[in-house]
Amino acid sequence: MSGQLILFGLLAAIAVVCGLCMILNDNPVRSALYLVTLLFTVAMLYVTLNAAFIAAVQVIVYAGAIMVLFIFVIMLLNLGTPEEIVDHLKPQKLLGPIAGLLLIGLLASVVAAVPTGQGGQPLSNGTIGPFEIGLALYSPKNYWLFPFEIVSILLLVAAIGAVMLAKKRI
Amino acid sequence: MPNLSDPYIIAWLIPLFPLIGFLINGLSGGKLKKNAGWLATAAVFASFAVAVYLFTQVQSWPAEAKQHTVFLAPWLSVPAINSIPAFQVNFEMLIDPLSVLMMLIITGVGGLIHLYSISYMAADKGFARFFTYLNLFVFFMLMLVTGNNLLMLFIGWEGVGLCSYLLIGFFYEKKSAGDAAKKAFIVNRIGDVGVLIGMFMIFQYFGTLDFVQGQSGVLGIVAAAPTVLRAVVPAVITVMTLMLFLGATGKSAQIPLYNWLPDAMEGPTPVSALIHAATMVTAGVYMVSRTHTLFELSDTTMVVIAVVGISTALFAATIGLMQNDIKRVLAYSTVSQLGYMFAACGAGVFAAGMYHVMTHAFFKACLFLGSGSVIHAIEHAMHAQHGHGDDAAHAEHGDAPHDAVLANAGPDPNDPQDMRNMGGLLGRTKITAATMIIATLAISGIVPFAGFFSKDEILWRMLNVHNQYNWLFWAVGAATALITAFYMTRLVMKTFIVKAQTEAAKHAHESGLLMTIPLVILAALASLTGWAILPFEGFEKFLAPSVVTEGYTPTILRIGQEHTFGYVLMLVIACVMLGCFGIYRTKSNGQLMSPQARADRHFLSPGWLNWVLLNKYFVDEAYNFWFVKLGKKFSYWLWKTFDVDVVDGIVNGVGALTSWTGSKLRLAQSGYVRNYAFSMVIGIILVLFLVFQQSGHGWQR
Amino acid sequence: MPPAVPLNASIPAVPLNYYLILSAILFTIGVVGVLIKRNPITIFMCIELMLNAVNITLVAFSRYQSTLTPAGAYANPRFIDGQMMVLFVFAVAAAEVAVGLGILVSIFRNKVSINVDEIDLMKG
Repeated sequence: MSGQLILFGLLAAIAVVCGLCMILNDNPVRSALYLVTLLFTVAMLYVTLNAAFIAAVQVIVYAGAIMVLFIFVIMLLNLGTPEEIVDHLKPQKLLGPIAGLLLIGLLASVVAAVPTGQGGQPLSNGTIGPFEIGLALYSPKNYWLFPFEIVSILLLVAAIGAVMLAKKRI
Repeated sequence: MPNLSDPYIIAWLIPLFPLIGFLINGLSGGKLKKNAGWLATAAVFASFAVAVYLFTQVQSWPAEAKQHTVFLAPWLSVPAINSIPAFQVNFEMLIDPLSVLMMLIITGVGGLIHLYSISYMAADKGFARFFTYLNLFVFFMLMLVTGNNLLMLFIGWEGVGLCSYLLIGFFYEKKSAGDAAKKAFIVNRIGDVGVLIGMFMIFQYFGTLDFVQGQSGVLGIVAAAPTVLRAVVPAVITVMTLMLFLGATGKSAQIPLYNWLPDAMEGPTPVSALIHAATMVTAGVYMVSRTHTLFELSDTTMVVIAVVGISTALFAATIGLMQNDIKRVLAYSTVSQLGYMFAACGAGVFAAGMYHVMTHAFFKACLFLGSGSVIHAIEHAMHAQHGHGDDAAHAEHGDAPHDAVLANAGPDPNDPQDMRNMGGLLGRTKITAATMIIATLAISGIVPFAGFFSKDEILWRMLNVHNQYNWLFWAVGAATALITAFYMTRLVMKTFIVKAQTEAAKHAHESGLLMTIPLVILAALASLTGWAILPFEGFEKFLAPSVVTEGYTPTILRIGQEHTFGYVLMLVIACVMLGCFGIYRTKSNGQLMSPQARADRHFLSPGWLNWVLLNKYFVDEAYNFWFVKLGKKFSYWLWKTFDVDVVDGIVNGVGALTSWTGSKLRLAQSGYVRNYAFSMVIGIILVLFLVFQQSGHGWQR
Repeated sequence: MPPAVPLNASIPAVPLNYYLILSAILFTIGVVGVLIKRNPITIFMCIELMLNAVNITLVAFSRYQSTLTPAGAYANPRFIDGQMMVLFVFAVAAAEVAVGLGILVSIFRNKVSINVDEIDLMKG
């Protein structure tokens, strides 16, 4: 039982518990906070996977910007009260978890059936930092430059769209 | 293209003249006024002249080459498909003794009737329309008799049916006229089913509809019949010919399709003379004679034809005994004489049948035209008496009531056609009387008038036919002849000889020249035919190439006994006529029983037979019940249960099914986003399942 | 000159399958959350959870494809693709959240109760 395995098991358990609490809780603010915890845990998982840069970006962007936005909108729309309104689709409360069970069963069986050994070769332990990301992103030999530029346009469009949608009067 | 090098190409002028007359009169007859009549008559006489020319030509041809086809234009040409042979039908005329004979009759008698009509229809406001229809009729009839194939015959067949409808319903403002026209057309159409089925079967076995080999190069059905039909089951030939005969019964008014002819007297009298005495009703006889080789191959059909013919003759003659309307008597007489013609065809002697066609055309047209003259005289006298102006100018007043007639009902005093309103015209309308008496003697079969020779020939041949019942045929025919003599004499008596029954009859006067000249000509023909002109031996020789088949001898003639039988029969007929003369001379209106006895007539009471005969054996009522009423009931039932319930049910049901399906499918569109998400998830699960199944990486589930 | 890359390589202790199953579980939790929650914000957050689960898969594959050849480290240039995709997922998720929350704000600005079931104008 190596330390890495224990670490993974711990982090995985925390993530799953946070996810379950998130969906079982009625209070949206509480759900948001559980999601933040989950995001931190996932960032730690990234670190164990030698993706330090990604972990940092996860914390900064996801937990730091997106979740803040979520909390902001919850407060703006006064969504903080727990759900106490009438449920129109009672059966779905049961059918949803059943569908979920089906889905997990499907995916797990696939994962279990396909062998994913790496042929006995050792894998590198070096973590990917900003330097490597930068090389991959901006080097003209690679193909990530073009999607990078396109994503910038995407973000521009999203920003404009969000402003347009939320305006009171066009 | 017509073959212009053919020396007999002028034959196409024969139907062309009446067609031109029809077009000119039809398009501008109103402006022509009286000249429409002269134009139409001239057209028909022009055709007659060409027909006479053709007749002389045909006489000069050698015996083996008596048939000549004149090609006018191609028509239908269908190439062969799989096992169905090629089908070709052209507009071709056939010139041979039979068609020339019919052409002469049609144009000759038709021309005289056109001449007569100029005076008869003078006061009618539909004068031009009348001649238009008459010319159209002559055109179609000529097409019928000159066509070289069954299809052209059928065109003419249908065309004369149409013209018959137009002409019977000429006085269209009278409901009874319209009804009679419809009845004629519909009953004819029932017969046409037979002709059509016969044509289909003929095409199936012969591959062609031509009578004689023409442009299409295929051997005609007349010549090919014995060889082609030898390989065929006899039942097929019987069915084929019976179907053709069914059409003939429709057109020529035999049992069971005869009941349109008496009602057809609603039309003007010249129409009755032309169509229902001389020409259209002989179309059936013509068709049977033309395709005689087919009929000769089926003994069953010949027996059927003979039986139907002779029984119709007797049946119609008995009905004619009691009719009071002068035109109805003549109508039933026509049906009866047609029966004789078919009996002759059934006995295998088509030449005798055609001879009777010719003589019948003469004396029956004379009788009808004479009756028209009488009706005109009475009508004018009635109008002069009552002083009322033209009511629907010459609309024929009298029509027998359509319900069953009570035999003690008196005559309608305004009916110029009822014989009980006539009498004493012998002195007043001399020429009409003389011609009608001559024609009556002719139809009764008194020597030396024409009917003696033709009827006698038919009866004689029927006696000699190869059949064990030949004596029965002869007996029925002879009885019919006696009855014919009786009712014709009765007609003459009541019309001319008896004292004048009404005031109108006392003041009638003779008709004009245009009406009497045709009467005289026809009476002369009726007197001279048989011994002075057109004796039967010469006629038979002339017609032989058309209607006689080598080797077919249905009769064995006992030469020498012929005249004995004939003269004995004639003597009996003469006795009957004298007896009738005696009965009717003394009794006015022929009352043979007291009014009391007449009033309480019922079945098996004295005189019930008269009542049945007067009501035509209630045949029309029976047809009405069995076919018309039951047909209507059946249609109503079909509509009620089938159309409304089943068909509408299906149609509405489709709509109902669609909306029900829609209402069920609509439940999926709940509007809730979460439902849609759930459906998506289920879809994802299914797709993933299928993808993993197909991936083949050993995923077993 | 790139910094010295530690050349230590070893077979990782945690098998790849574990990461994949963890990702599947998190994804399923997100799906169930979308199906049973009625608050639109909470549904949105579950969607984010799903995206994160996928990110874990991508990074895991990227890690487990990096092999060491005698020529030097990172001889397989492709193994960084997973992480690059994750970067783009981040960007797209951010854009999506911005627009989605804008929509949510505009829909629910004037409503009394926040229930995603109330948006049922597409009801047949």
